[in-house]
Amino acid sequence: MNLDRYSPQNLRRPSSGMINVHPIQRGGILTEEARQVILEWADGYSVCDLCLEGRVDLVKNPPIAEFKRDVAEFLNMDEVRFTAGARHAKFVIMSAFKEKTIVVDSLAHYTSYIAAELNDMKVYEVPNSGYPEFKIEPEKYAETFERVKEETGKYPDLALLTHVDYRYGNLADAKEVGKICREYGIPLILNTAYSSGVMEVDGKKLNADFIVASGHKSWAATAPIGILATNYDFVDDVFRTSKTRGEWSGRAFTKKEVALFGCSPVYGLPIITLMASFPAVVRRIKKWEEEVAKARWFVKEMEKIEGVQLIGERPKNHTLMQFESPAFHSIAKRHKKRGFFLYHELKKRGIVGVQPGMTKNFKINVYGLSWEEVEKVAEAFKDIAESYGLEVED
Amino acid sequence: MSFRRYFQIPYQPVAVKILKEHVKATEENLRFCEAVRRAAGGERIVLDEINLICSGALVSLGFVRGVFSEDSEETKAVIVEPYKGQECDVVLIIATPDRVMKIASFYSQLFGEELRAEFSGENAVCGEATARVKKEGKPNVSFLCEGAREYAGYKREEVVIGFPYETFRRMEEAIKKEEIKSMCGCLMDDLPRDVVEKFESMGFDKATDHFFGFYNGKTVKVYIFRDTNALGLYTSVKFKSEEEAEKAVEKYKGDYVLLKRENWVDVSKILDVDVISEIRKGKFEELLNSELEKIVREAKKLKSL
Repeated sequence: MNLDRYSPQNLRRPSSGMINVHPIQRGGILTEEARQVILEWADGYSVCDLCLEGRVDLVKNPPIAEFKRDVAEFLNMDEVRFTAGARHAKFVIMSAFKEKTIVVDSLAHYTSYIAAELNDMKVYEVPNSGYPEFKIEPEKYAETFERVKEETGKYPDLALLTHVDYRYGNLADAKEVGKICREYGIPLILNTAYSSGVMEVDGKKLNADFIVASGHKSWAATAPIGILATNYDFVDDVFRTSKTRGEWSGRAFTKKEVALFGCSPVYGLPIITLMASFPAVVRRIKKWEEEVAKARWFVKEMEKIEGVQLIGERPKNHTLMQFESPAFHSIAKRHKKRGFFLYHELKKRGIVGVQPGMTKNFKINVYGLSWEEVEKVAEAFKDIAESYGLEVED
Repeated sequence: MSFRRYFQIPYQPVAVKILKEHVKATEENLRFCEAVRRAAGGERIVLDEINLICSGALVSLGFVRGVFSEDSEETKAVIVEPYKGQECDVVLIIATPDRVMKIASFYSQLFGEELRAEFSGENAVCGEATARVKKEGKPNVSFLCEGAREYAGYKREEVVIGFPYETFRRMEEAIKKEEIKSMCGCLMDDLPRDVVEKFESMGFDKATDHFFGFYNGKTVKVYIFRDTNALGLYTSVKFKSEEEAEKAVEKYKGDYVLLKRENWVDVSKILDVDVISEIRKGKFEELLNSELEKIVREAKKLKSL
């Protein structure tokens, strides 16, 4: 065993000092405030020093119990728990709908499907519009509900909408989907892994019964942390507490929430950084329009490169975008580094985050980059294109 | 990473070397299949004509000539030991069908051919997985024989694959270099393989949800609709401004569907054909080329408006 590989020198981050445009990274970049508290709270279960109630969401010092209420207010929901990620939050909700039927959008994250599978749910999909926009039209939810009724004899028990999908960065019309779900009486999970924390998400306005969020993707927190917000209607089912009693010892754990495994595993840096970044998150969502403006500008610049075209909805309403680039792919076919050439060329220019090997189409997120940085990224792509003989408009 | 670890095989691979010279044999009478199983557990065993007690193995491995066999009897000893990279004739793997499935997939990606199983249920480990593999230079899967199951302790669910040494070495090298990669594991569509291959043979590349390629210097995209298998053809025209795009759309008189999105106009047409069945009937290429010709012409016309 070579233990040297774990020395601090060998654990330096390769992307250190570079602009990272990886779609999952931008909203998770820590705030200065979060960085300030990291070392102090870095030890294992650091927030559990004064846990009197046996659950992380009830800890009063640091003020997690109050934070829980603040997050609920911020999302305009009634009750909040912290989870090991948005995926865990979805699993927790679905565990209250075991073996029932769920309708999900066909752009949903794979963890939506897996959470359903883990709870033995039957999954139906809402079709998307296909190439080139891949949009989820709200009325398709109603059509899918009717299809489920035709096939199973009753309407589905639960619906899920991915507010912003991870493939094209399309912003779905959550309000309209929520309205349809209300009309049918079907509770709606809104997966906001790429929206809440960077843009305004108001659960009541959007008619969401559940909101799941990702702290590490969009709330400037260290992984792994997610948020599960719901309304009082569902609290008893989703946050049901343990009823088990040891048959010999008589031990019982009646305060522990079953689907959260008693106490959610966010007992150290994840919850602390989520809290420390929260004031900045509350402020930053008000600047969302400018972030979208940067993304739209970036699209225009990228499309000056021969053969590069945005896929997904236009104009962009989110900072996560996917480009199709047959011209870059043609270069990759004859380049000795094959599809990795683009990754290497970008890295030379101080940019990481485009998936190595991807040239046909690639995803980028420019959230939180300064205008100068967005320009730098666009210039890097144009420079690479020109150096390989592709035409770039002035 | 080793082959064993990569495929998570409980036993060690076994190297078999067939010798034409005498080597001191192990002081124990054994069947060949039994020796292989023990070598898979870490032992080194040398067999010769005296301590190899299975007549089928004596014939298969060339110690003695079968009554109707034309093979000569040249073998004087066989070394059976755990494979650690040493040169040998055949490498044997004891595995369950689910492991064989993964090995076969890896093998076919690396060598471009299927892993075969030719077996008769007789003279299995010695003949089907060792002697035949050495002679033919191709791997083979054996489902074992009564002797192996009854006397050598192979479990009901176990089979043996024999690889020529060079083939096995190449597979280990590919594992070390990570030549065969599975990507993220998300299957983004369930288009049949022959359909994907057909588009690729026509110069199209598969994107996440659709195909794209070039026709007469223009980027074109093809999308197969999930519910009907109908064919969507797309190309785009970029204008200098939204106003120019708007004007061009207003002037356009053709039959194609135009969708203005900012300064781009998507030109598209949905063909009411079942792409998958057309491809299988073999008439697809002509149809697609003719439609691509038309859509590209239409896009160029739009650009000049």
